[in-house]
Amino acid sequence: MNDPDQRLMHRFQKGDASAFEVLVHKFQGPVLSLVRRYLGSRSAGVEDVAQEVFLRIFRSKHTYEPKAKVGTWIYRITVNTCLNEIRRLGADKNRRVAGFSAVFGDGDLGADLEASALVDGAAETPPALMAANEVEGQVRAAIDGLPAQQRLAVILSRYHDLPYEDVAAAMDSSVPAVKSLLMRARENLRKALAAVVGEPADAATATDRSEPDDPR
Amino acid sequence: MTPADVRERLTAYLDDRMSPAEAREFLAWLEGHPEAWKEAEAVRRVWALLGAYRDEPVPEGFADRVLVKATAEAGGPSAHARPALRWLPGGRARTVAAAAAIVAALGVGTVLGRGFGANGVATPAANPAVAALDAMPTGVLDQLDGDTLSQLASLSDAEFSALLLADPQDLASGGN
Repeated sequence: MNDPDQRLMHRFQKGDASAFEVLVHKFQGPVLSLVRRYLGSRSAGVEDVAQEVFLRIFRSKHTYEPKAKVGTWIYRITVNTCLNEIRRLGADKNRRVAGFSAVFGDGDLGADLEASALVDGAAETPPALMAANEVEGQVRAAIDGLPAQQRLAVILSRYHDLPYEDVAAAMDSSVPAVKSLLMRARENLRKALAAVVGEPADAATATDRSEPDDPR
Repeated sequence: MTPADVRERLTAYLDDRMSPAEAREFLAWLEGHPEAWKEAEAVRRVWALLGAYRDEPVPEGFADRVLVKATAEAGGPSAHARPALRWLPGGRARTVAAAAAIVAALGVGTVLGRGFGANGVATPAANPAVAALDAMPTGVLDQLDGDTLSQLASLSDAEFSALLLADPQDLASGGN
């Protein structure tokens, strides 16, 4: 067992609380980051959800098996905890539909005022002059507007640098499915962020809106 | 190459999942297909733009709050008894000695340079002290006692940097 995380988990499973402490310090950033981006504007309780993740790790330490990477196991617990939060809020479907329709212009489904304002503002402001936080806001809105599974694949791949295999493991999915999600997410993001990169929105490829309403 | 093929290869290219030969072949193909090149460039720019969505720092005291709850749940004392870092005589000496051993084994550059992913993007909140623990050679981690381990892990970036910059003589004497 040469992997340091696995050695820490082994110590933790044997009852060494200090090993759990190290794991909390090591993974607090990634867990908070994943929770914040995955829940997006759906929940104000990012810290509460992240705390719940670590408490679940604490309670379920004996379910960890060394054949899995500790990080992937923790990401999977994080994803499941976020899904519970989304279900608890019962807001994902409405929020996603509203946000997505605003970004991608489906007027039948209503409008997301915040996202609309950001996109409208981008049309009038040269990209080079756009303040960094305004660009960040548009990127956040575009990611927030992705269907949940595409959003999760992008977050794990782009912001957590996970290879396809680990993304698939964290999402309880397959590598081909992850590749497909990333492909569709890129197309959707290209469309949503066309104004920011100075590309006409209609130049982007057809947007896929076919992902089912499963909150994942 | 069908549009679906192009998208699949572009995904592999952007995710750095192509061999150098495959990447060269794909780029050569793109150069001969201006429309596909434009498409690929647009997707690449958008993917790069996602870096604008920055991480936020970990809230102050987050780990301690988690540990308090975990300790309470386990039936321990209601408050997390161990301070995040205390420069106590003896305790400091042990912590410093362990950290110094790590730094000596890995080099300052190695320890401080571990917060970045392969593509130069900062990985989420890589604490240098934790990164040092992560990089520790096999066997060394197992020799650290629990107190030293948790003290090292809970060093802030600033504290750990200060440790790295401290006078070796001071480290050797424990700084008391």
